[in-house]
Amino acid sequence: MTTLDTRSNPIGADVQSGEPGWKRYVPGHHWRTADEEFDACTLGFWLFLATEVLLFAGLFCGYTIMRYKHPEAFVNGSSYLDWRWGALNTVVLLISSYTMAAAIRAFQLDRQKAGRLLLAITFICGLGFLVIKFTFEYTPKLSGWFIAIDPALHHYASLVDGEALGGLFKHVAGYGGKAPGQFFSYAFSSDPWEPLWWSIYYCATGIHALHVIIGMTLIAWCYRRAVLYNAYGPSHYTMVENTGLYWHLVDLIWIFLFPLLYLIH
Amino acid sequence: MSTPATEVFNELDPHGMGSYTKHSHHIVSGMTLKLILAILLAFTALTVGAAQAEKWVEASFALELPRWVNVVVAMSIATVKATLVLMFFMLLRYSNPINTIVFLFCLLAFGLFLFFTLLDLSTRGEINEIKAKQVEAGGIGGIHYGWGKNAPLVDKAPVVYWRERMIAEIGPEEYERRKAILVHGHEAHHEPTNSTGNLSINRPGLTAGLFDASAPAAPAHGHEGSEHAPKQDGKTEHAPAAH
Repeated sequence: MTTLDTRSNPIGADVQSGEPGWKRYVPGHHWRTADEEFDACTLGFWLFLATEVLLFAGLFCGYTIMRYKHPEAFVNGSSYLDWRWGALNTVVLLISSYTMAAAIRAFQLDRQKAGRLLLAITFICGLGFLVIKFTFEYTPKLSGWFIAIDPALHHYASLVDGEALGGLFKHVAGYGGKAPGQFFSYAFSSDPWEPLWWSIYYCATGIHALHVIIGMTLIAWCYRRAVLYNAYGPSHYTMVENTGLYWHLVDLIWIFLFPLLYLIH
Repeated sequence: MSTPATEVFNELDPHGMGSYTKHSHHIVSGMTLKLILAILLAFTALTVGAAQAEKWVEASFALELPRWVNVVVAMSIATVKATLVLMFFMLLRYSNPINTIVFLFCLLAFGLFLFFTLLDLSTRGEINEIKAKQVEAGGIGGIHYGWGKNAPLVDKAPVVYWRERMIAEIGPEEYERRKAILVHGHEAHHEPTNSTGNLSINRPGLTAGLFDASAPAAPAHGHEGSEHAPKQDGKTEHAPAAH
């Protein structure tokens, strides 16, 4: 079996030896040391993160232009958002960032169980972020369907005109339609530029949510490798380190999106 | 010229690069991570509190804070939070400095985007003054002619302004005398013409008749006939040249 085979297919005969994956890891043959490989991988990942930041830079510039030209539309649009959901999601992401950093630390110290647990918590936090975003924010605003436990629902009790899934979801007449651009169909708006605000809102939070999903996929992959063959340990944890960098970037973007979208007045 | 006895030449690492990269695996202490999380959560509360406080101040004192206050306060707090995440969670404080340089260059690009966007947005109004005027050959003035703070503000085209000023200074006769000498110097063999687009532009090679609809041109001196051949229907393309 060649070195390459060992690396690309670590679940082989040699797994039976009981050696953890991180000990069996052999750096690419073109590197002089494992450290060099690690440094190059990390640098490459930072270059990729730079392109990610520039992707969001375009969004932030769009935001700047639209808010500069239509400040009232942004104050008005922001008033539809509940800052408490935004703050809760910020806390969820910050905690997940902490657990991600702690997971890397755990693998650096060869604490495999703790590392796996922290990866799982990070994944669950990401899932929680998406659930809050889609259940309590996107769905009601787009369609008017509220989940029955939504605390905002009691305010609209007199407008409820439908139920679904045995009362799990309730429909509030006229609430939906706060969609971006040409899809906008909310009838009670007073600001002519409101569809523009929703375009910015859904672009920014949507692309961010996509990054959350990608980050969760990477974390799940790391978790699987850790569970199957202890892939990460003191001498080799490149993948979990770079996944962490990606996850922190997602957090970093949200740190700016939260006040820009929720705390305008 | 003596080498420490402990340093053995490593053929695989001739420049001792290994010793440099040894420091890339920094393990952050658990206490540091917890502390950073606590600070980040506190700053989240702070940014929410600041927004509420702005609202409260506006409501209680019946005043309207400038628009930039909200943005500047929120973005300052967010920048502090982002710096903490970058330094301690993303390990920029401990890792190879090239990673920080890459990220700072990226922020520089971001700054350029924002700078030129804001430069454009904040100066949009200035074009209106220019757009409100008519376009006229030689300009219609309304600007300072010349250099320095004493340059006069004139509402005339520069050609007219400087001509009239010279006539007022030296009198019409002296003006004509000087003009005869000066103009002879560089326009000796030409009747002065009113320059038009047709005369200024090198016509061969351009779409035939591109300018003729608006201002039929006389052929230039010296090479008449070549590219200004009469059309097949007998009409001449241009007004006959005056010789």
